[in-house]
Amino acid sequence: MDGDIGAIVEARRDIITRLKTMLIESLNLEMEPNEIAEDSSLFGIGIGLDSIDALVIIVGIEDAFGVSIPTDEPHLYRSINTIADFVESQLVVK
Amino acid sequence: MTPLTRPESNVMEFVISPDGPSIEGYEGFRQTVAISTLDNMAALAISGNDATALLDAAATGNIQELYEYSVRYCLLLTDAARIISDLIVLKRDDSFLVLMDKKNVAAVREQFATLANDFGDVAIADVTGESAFISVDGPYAWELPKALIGLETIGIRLLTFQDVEIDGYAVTLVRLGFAGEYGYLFITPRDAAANLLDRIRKARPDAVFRTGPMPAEIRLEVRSYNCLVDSPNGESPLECGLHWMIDFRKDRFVGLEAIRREVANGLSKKLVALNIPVDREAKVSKVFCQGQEVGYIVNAAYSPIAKTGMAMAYLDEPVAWVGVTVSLPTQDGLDLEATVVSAPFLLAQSNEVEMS
Repeated sequence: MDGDIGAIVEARRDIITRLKTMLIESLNLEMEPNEIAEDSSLFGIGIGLDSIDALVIIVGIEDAFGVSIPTDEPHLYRSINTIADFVESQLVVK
Repeated sequence: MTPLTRPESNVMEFVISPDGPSIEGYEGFRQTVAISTLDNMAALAISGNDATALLDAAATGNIQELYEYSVRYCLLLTDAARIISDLIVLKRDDSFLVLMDKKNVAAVREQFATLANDFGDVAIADVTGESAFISVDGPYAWELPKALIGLETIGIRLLTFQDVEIDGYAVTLVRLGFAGEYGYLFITPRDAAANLLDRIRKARPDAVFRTGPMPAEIRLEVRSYNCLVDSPNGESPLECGLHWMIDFRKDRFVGLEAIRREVANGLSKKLVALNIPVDREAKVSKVFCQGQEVGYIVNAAYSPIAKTGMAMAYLDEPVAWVGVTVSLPTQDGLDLEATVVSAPFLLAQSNEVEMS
């Protein structure tokens, strides 16, 4: 891998790892990071979190990354990957 | 980079075309209602005092904790954690109805029968021939059970079901979805199917009617797992991203040890979504990154709503990350550029469809 792709992957991997850790710790999930797929739906047919969990996730994202995720756009926190997309976009803006 | 074992014998070619044939029932699935008779679906009835124990020992999901009239998606694996079939398990009292694709039913039944030797009181019956399966999907799917049964059907929670009666026939109404919507599945005795279908079609005359399994393109748009398409070379559930169908805390299911090893060791490849901007027909198959072959496509199509080519591909783990750009050789010698993106390609919710 050249530098550009290596940098993209490392940045993404770092955000994903931090997000999974935040999710597991803040929701007291009995899971390991490797037991969550990045594209799995966090709600409904998927991991099965609920609206209360969503609020915890929103607070966790703010604490972990210093970015505010809009509460009225649930598609942003559909999965670990969609949250990471949002976090990346906000970190670029900063 | 850990080398990916290439399934050379089973790498398939897919055509992505902005001007290609329309996807069967597309408007129904995405804008109104699609009514599908799922003649590809099979069902096993499992009963007896040890039915729960048998299913729990076999499947990756937690069946012991499944409530009555609830539904669980899970997998049936080999000892090496290769997928035999995905299963939809419905629990009614102390008996179960297990749904799967008809192509998998013989292997599933064989696996259950083998395990049943460890359990005293289990009966397994193939009820496929006695049953009919009618799925309604799309943003207005909810109108059909409401019209046929009543307003209370709107309140049926996702992944639950009810036993209802329509024209004197027993019908199991299941709330789940294959097309990204929260649709409904009607399971009815085969001799009542024609009547029920007629009632459903009259309740929404403008609905699209079709027969057969959900189109692969529809499932691709919403990244709905398709056992017959997504793991053609014996890829593992974790490589497929099916972690959510597995209860990792269970102390027993077939394939558990292999799954635990994979969790501990990490994956060498992952199934990821590729966004492929195209303005012409393209045949795609293998995936390259900086001149190196890094993966293969298992499903691809053009999305009329997202207006882009889309594919699911297994990529070497070091490049299987959102944001990585890859290239796809095509039939005319020109490479297409594609980007790993977050799935799904479309977010299909209640009454709206928007791009991911």
